[in-house]
Formats: sequence, structure tokens, C-alpha cells
Amino acid sequence: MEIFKYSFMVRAFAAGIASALVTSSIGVFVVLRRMSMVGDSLSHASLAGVAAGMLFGFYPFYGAVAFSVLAALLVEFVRATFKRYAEIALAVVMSASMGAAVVMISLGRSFNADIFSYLFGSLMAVAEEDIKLIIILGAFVLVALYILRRQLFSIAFDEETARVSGIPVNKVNVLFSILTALTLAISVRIVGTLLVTALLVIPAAVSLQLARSFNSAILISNVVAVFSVVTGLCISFYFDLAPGGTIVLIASAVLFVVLIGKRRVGKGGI
Amino acid sequence: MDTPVVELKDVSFSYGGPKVLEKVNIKVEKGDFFALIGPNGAAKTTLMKIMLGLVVPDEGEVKLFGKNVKSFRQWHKIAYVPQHGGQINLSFPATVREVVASGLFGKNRPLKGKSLEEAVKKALATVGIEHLAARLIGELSGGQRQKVLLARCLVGNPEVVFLDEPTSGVDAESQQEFYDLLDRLNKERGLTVVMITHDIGTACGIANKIGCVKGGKVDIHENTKDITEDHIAEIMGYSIKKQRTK
Ligand SMILES: Nc1ncnc2c1ncn2[C@@H]1O[C@H](COP(=O)(O)OP(=O)(O)O)[C@@H](O)[C@H]1O
Ligand SMILES: [Mg+2]
Repeated sequence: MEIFKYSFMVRAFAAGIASALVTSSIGVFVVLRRMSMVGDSLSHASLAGVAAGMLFGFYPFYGAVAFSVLAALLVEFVRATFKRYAEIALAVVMSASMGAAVVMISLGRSFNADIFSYLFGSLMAVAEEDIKLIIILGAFVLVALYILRRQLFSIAFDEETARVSGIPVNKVNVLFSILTALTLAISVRIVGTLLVTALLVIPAAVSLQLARSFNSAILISNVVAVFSVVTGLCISFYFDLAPGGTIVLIASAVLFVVLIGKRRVGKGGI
Repeated sequence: MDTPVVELKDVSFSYGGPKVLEKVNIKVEKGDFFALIGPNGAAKTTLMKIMLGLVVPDEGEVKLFGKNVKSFRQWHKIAYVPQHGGQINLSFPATVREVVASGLFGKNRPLKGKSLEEAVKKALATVGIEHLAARLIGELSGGQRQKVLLARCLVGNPEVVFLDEPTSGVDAESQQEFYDLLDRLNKERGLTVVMITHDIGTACGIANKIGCVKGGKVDIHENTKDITEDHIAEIMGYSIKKQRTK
């Protein structure tokens, strides 16, 4: 196929599929725990990290990883310390990150084109170095999720019974936030900071509509995400579009079709 | 005598306002069937959460199996069914089998593969819901869901179960089955039961200890045979007969 003649496209597919698998796996837990707002805050923090990298001359992708992990720790700290203000804390982290990002972007006027690729995702931008980081961090997140799957299941099901069964809920929650932060940061390359939460949430939402067991929920979420990323990348290649947007539109279309289909089945229409 | 399963000494607690519990003393012995009753908002749920270390009291001491709840680690001995089934998300895409198995996901319960499956099967059979094994938890009726939570709570063979209004939303017939089952587990296996309930009649029927929670105080009545329903109703300030006709 023509599309694979370009090495940047091969890299885009590798990064895209890796991101899809990781976001859609952790996404099921994020949605069940009603934490998609955390995803939003952390992805905004990763944009601030990108801007900081560009301004201060370190690799922006590392900035994205570092800032989103730091924001995750901050959010967890606030959630643990001031339980009632958890939601406000998230909103503050999100706006403060966005503010920091905007200020740093306007300070370094020269990098507008680059920042664009981090905002909306880019096919060309995925470097050899990015791929390595994406695959190593992605594999780390997947292995950690696998090891923690039982604890995460119990906590998502009911936090208090999880505590009473001896699961170290606070520790697992901090780990989970860090894993979410890593996931968002590595997906930023392909989908962009503005749309990465969609990749976290939409495939999981589809799986909640269709799954007949928890194991199948993660699998369905994976399939939807990989499908959206692969078709989205192809379309954005042939029509020269920002990949983040196409990927998210396709995932949304899948969700829409599934919701309509379920309604019709529910009413005995099919 | 054995160390008590649960021991509260002079426990007081407030949510920031007036005290909802004041100098509460409770002892639950091994093999007890301890029923906690009281009007809505009397702090029964709070009291149970204090016993489990989920809520930390302002004053007083809480011990589980003789150990301070803060440093208690033998959680495999304990199982809990929260009120209204906790904050269970009805879109949770898990089967009954998966939910019951998760009762074994805690510490000190390294069951895997075959032995996990066996334990789940046994728990489903004990509660009589084998036929629901492959159903999604979100598609069950309230009563069926409570049974699933009870199976989840029994799957690890705990020594004591804490049940917070386990039969709310359950029809009268299933309610009776539910209590019979608990009575049997209590008598045959020596399972210690701590249960919050509004069903004073049943509480008097099967519990050997009743705690009446009201106005921040807990009155303990042992020898439940000696006290009549009317007596309890009087203490609690509401009539059972009125409740029954509802
Ligand atoms: N998280 C909370 N924050 C503040 N007040 C609470 C909280 N939970 C319960 N309360 C209050 O404490 C009292 C006891 O509540 P609860 O233990 O749930 O009672 P019960 O289970 O007996 O119905 C009630 O007045 C309730 O409004
Ligand atoms: Mg209650």
C-alpha cells in the first residue's frame, strides 16, 4: 500500500496503535470511576509541559510527560486532603495549566507551527525518538494495568468495600493517576492535547454499551480505539487533515451508530 | 473468653456539627448475631463505618479481633455489604460471576484459576443464584443485586460479615429467605453477623444482641427473648404495627 512507503506514516501507525491500546484500556477504568475530568486536566497540563519545553529548550515531549505526571500528583494530593474540593481542584489545575501554556506560547513567538502539532496531533511530527518513548511508556502502563487489574476492578466497583478487603486504595489511586498521566502524555503526539481525552473516553463508552463482561469491555474498547486510529490516520493522510480530529470523529461516529443500534434493538426494531 | 470480634470503647463522632455518636460502647463476640436498629439518620451507617475503620472517630477506641482498627491487617476475616450496594455504577459492565470473584481480590487471598472458580460457584450456590452467574450486574433487580453482594461477601469465607440494610429493595419472600440464610450461616458455621436493619420483628427473631441507635447513644439488649417487639418499638419511638401495614 502506498501509505506505508512513507516512513513517517509507518511511525504514525506504530505510535497511533500503541496510544490506542493504552488509552482505551485505561479508559474503561477512567470512565467507570467517573474521572474523565481528570483526563482533561492532565492533558492540559501536558500542553503546558510542551510549551515549557519549547520555551526553555528541552524536548517538548518530555515536558508533556513530566508536567502531566506532576499535575496528577497534585490532583491526587488535593483530592486526598480537601475531599470536598476535588472538582474545583481539577478545574483549577486545568485552567492554570492552560494559562501557563498560553503565557509560555506567547513568550516564545517563534514556535506557533510546532505547538499546533501538539494541540491537534500530527502525522509528520512523530520522530524515531518519540516512538521509542511511546512504546516503552505504553508497555509500562499496560503491564502495570495488568498487574493492578484486580485492585482497580474492586476500587471501580466500590471504593469502601475495596478498602475493607485490604486493598491499599490510596496507593493504588495515586499509581492509577500516574498511569493516566503517562497515557495522556504519550497519546498527545498523534491525537493532540485538545482531543486526547476523547480517545480515553469514547472507546470506553462504546464498550460499556456493548460489553457482556468486564474482560470483553476492555477488548471492545481496544478494538474501537485501534479501528478509529487506523482509519483516522488513513483518512487524514489522503485528505491532508489533522489526525486528532479525524480519529475522534470516527470514534464518535462509532459511538453514535452503537447508541442508535441499541435503541432500535431495545424497541424491537431490528 | 475469646477476644471480641468488634469492640468499641467510648467512641464519639461528629461530622463537624453536633455529635452523631457519643461515648458508644459495643462488644460483638464470636458467633454473635448483632442487629443494629434505629430511625433514619440515627448514625447506624456511620457506626458501622467506624467499626470498619472507614470513618475515624473523634474519640475512643475501635478494635477488630483485639487489634486497633488502624493497624488491623487481617481483612480476609471481614466482609462488608454497604447500604444501597455502595456507589455501584449500574453501567458497570461486569457479570455476576466477575463481581462475586472480586470478593477474593483483596489481600491474603491468593486464589487463582480453578480454585477461584470453585469458590465463586460455591458462593453462588450458597445464596441460590447460580442461574444468574453470566448476567450483567446492572441488569438485575434490586433484590437479586443484594444477593449477589451477599455472595461476594461470603466468597472468601469471612469470620464476620457487616451488612448495612441488606434487604432494602427486596420483596418480602426473598427477605425471609435472606434472613433464613444468614440465620443458618450463623448457627451452622458460626459466622458472626453485624447487621443494620429496619425489620425489628426479624431482628428480635434471629439476633442474640440488639443495639438500638438513637440520639447518639446505643442501647444494647442481650437476651433478645426477654424483650418484646413492642418494648423495642417504644424505645425507638415508633410503632411496628404501623410499619407493618405500609
Ligand atoms: N458524609 C457526611 N457528612 C456530613 N453528615 C453526614 C455524612 N454522612 C451522614 N451524615 C449525617 O450523619 C447522621 C447519621 O447518618 P447515617 O449514619 O447515614 O444514619 P443512618 O444510617 O442511621 O440512617 C445523619 O444526620 C446524616 O445526615
Ligand atoms: Mg444508613
